[in-house]
Amino acid sequence: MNTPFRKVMAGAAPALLAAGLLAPPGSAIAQPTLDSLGLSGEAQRAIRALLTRPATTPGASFGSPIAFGANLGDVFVGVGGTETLPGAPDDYDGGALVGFGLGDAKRAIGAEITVGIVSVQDEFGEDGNIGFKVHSMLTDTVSVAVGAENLGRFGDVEGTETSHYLALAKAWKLRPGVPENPLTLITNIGVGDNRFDDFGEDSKGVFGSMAVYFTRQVGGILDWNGRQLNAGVSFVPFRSFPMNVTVGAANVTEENNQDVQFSGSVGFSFNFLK
Amino acid sequence: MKTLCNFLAIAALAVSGTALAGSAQPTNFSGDSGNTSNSSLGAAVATFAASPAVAESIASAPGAQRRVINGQNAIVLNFSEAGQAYQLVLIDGEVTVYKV
Repeated sequence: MNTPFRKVMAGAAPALLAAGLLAPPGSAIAQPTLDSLGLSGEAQRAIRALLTRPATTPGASFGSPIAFGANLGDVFVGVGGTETLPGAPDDYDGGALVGFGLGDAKRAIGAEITVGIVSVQDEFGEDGNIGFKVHSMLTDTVSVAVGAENLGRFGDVEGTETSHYLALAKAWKLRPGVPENPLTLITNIGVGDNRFDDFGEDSKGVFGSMAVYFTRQVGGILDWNGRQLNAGVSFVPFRSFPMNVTVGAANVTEENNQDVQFSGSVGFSFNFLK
Repeated sequence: MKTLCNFLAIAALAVSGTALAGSAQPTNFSGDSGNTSNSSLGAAVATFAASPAVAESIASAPGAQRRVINGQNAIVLNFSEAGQAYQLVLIDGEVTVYKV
């Protein structure tokens, strides 16, 4: 949305009230229905799609960082779990993180900061790190980001290196004429070091993901994180509640002779400025 | 070392599941920008950029009211849907719907 319009609309409600155009709450029973306004079918569908949009979207990647990011007011919490590889002390392990955004990627630059707990084995909160991403919307559907993972390490993570990356993402509406189900495709590609390069290689690695939203609440994801291919399904179980659930399999091609691991995560997000 | 890398991947999976949720609607890929604002009367549901055909349909609706809001020409439509009252405001091709 353009900035002048945002400024105008920020003060529009009092002006509308003064003009007698905004009815007070509870007095709208006599309003005409959307169907009876005389709008075209296209306009009705666009407005109805807006009224019925989910509180959040399914996930768009499953192991790779994505170029879209949080802005000022955005706060999110995630928990995840996975099968462990042979040799780990337990069969399963989990991680959690909280994150928030700063700035405004649509106007200029946004920044996303996350604090992660990378293992819940042994003492909870014993091992963790910080992630940082700077991102900017080049257009309404294209975003670029640079970021670093595994900063500010503590616990067992201290001995590992920081991973840096550059990513570019675009959202495509494959059915732009169907606003209630535009069949959105999200593509993300990037390059990074350490976590994203091949095992034993001291170089840069390429990562990327594709997600298709079959509906506005259900999507499928393919993700190459630089070392292995992951596949998952992500969904928003409740339309009016900002939670998404992602489940899938990591390393589906059994790279490096390692087993497939079943994994999943749950995310909640909200914006305290809206 | 291998186990620790695995742990890091867990965190990455959790991030991936929520990063977009954190950025949520600003990506504008779900058909609307998702920008919302609160007013003293009710929260705006969301805003979207109307196509020329949609904007024309709204402007020419029989119940459309033309007003100047904060110095800009606006089209206002009141309606209800599923028992909820809304007010639609069209300014410069952008549609904002408020809950009343």
